[in-house]
Amino acid sequence: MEIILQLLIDALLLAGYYALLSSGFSLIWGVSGIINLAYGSFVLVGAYMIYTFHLLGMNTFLAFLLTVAFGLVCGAILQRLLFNKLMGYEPFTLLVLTFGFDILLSNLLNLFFKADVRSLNLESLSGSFFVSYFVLPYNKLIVFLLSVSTIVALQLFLKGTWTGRAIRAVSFDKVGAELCGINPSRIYTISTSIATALAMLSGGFYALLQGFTPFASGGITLKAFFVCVVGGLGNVHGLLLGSFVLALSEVFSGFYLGEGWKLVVSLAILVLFLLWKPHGVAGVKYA
Amino acid sequence: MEKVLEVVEIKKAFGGNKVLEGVSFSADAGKVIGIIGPNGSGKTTLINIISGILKQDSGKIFFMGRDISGEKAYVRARSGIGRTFQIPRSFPSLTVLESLQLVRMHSGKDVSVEHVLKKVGLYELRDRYSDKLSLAQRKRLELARTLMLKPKLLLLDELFAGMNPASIREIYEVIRSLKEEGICIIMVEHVLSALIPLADELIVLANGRLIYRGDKYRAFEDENVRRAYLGEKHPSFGM
Amino acid sequence: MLRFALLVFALSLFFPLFANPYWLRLLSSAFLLSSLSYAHNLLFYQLGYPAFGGIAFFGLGAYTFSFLYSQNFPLMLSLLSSVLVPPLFSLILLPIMLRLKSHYFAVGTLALQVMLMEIVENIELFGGTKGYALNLSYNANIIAYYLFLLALLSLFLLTLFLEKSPFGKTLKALKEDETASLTLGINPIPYKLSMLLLMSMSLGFLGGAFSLWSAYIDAPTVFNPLLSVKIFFILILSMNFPIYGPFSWSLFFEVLFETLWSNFPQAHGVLLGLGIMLLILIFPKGLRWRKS
Repeated sequence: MEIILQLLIDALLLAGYYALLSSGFSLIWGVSGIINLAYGSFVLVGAYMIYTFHLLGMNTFLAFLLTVAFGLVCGAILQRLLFNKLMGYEPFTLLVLTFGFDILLSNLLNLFFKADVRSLNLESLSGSFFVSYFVLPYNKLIVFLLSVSTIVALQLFLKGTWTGRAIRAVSFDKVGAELCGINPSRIYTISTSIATALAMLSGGFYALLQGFTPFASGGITLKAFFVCVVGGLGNVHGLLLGSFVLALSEVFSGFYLGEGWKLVVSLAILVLFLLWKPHGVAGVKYA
Repeated sequence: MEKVLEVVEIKKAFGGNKVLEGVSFSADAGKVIGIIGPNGSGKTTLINIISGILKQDSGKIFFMGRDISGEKAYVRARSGIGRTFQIPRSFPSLTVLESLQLVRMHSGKDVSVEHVLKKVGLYELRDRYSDKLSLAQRKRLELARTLMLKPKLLLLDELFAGMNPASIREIYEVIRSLKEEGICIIMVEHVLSALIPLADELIVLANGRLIYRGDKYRAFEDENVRRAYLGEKHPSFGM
Repeated sequence: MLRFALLVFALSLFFPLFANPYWLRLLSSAFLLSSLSYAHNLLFYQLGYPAFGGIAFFGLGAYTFSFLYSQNFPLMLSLLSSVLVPPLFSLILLPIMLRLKSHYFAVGTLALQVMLMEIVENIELFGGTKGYALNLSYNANIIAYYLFLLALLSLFLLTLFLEKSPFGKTLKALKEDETASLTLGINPIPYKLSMLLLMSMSLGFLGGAFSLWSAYIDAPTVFNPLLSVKIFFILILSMNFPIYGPFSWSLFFEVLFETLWSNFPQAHGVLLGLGIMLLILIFPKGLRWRKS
């Protein structure tokens, strides 16, 4: 019984992180309608940046700040220079673009960092928090708390500010939003910018949680895709639900079936949802 | 004599938008039924549902006495339901002739391609690629394709839209001869000058509801129709 | 043009007799790449479904062959299995092909590829991270050459056949306007299924032949996403030339990469990624595309 509870705790901590990880992907998909196949690479760029800053002895907080700022800038450039050029054409063109971009980034990272497994082990975060029988590793706990805070902040932004509401308006109905005087092009830039920053931030956390190589991007993008399909686009409930389903499936199948089977179970669930409920459990927008 | 088509309480909503709110009607062989109504009244959605491209939320559809409510679009096509699209859809890789041969291959019906080509007036253009045709020619091609199905029911979505008077005249004759052959034809139209002489009766849709069904001339005297289609303060529709 | 192609094919038959190993390897590589391209086109050009992760079937074929062969199964049987196993996996994608838009199919194939790569690396039975080192006879690479040539010829002829035949015309109709095709009585299921199976079988075969050629396979090599980028680069360039395009471009790129980039293997991926991005940015219209 304790094992199950421990697994549930692990799943909860992981779910919080997955929600943050997928939030950027969901934002780009939900607002601009773009399935960003290079998303995993963005996350890894964030991971490598934080890792490098740490190696250079920079203060961790500053490192994160710089990475997030970098993400904001990159996202804006990405939308304006690349995505906007192809928005009017078949969705296939954007898929090819992001697919190629993923390969480009992975190999660039490989060029600079080689394929050795890296990770960020902060002494301040080693060890665990113990509550009766249960273990809560510090790094996972901190990542969970920070992830959830970021999600909450994101929600407040989307619901409370004019820009946030404009973003939601565009994602529901671009033409309607335009008729209200909202400039969709500007909104796309802002949302992709935020999304990329979120990706890089979660990359930093990724580095804290596990080892990574330049070629881990496919798996990451897949997780984000899973969360969006299962949970649904367009609202935070979907994000949290999808993340929880993913985390649960990984933790339990990893424990009972073994590492190699985690992906199989996830893929099976993903395919089932794609076929029977492609909007996801709580989706309000179908991309 | 069974009805060719019977539509019972068809409802369809997209999210919160109720496009069709319980539409029912029936149609006999050899009759032309015109469906008119303001834009957004659900006419094309109704056609999509009858042809099987869209699934209704509730309600039933009977074709030749058979319940086809759950049947796939291609099955309906093979059993003799043909439809055209508001904006003609063609296959750029195929010539006119090839398009018809394609339908023949899949329909299981023994229809002469040459005969159909001559009937719609596309015989000379048979080797032209489908995307190199004018609008009126594409509409004829769409019609020709449906004829390859040996249809008992034709659903024509704004066939006359965008055609010049000469083309309208020619197509008019084709439709009339199809009606004489016993095909039941349902036409969604805005070009009333061509529809009215052709139609046996009129159905008026507004806001997803069937607000009038019956005699084509009396349609425009009906209170509900005038308010919905012609506008509150519109004088009598000079025909 | 066709006669020229057949001449090239006839010459290729005798090539191994007098060619030196370097040219043999280069040509084998070009044949492999072209075959992979034609195979992917069975779904991409013919039906408008881009299998970005199609390499999953190639890898499956390679692993099936290597697993059986290293368990001392006869060569032919191993090769046959590499043809028959991948289609079984491809059936997972069939419902996605039938019900969802083509970009979900693209992502679905990628998911399959990522998943298979991870499974194979985690399960010791399939070599784990070490992969397979096969014990082959000295002329295995000549056999592989002919296998690649056979695959190339078959796929080339198949593509030619599809351009002219009624079956092929149906595929075109489905690709250009599936909705209209449905209203004309066309049942898309047997067509989508048969092309999916043909593609996965061809890719599986090529995976088996590749194992024979390379004698050593591991997950990063046979599930290499770089291969996908190369293939789609070629396919996009061949969008208007489905019959001769893939072979010509494959030959061109293999020679190009061999002569120029063999000194910079790391840059390979960077240039390919950059290349395909530029390609799609400059020619986004592609050409006749599937109505999504």
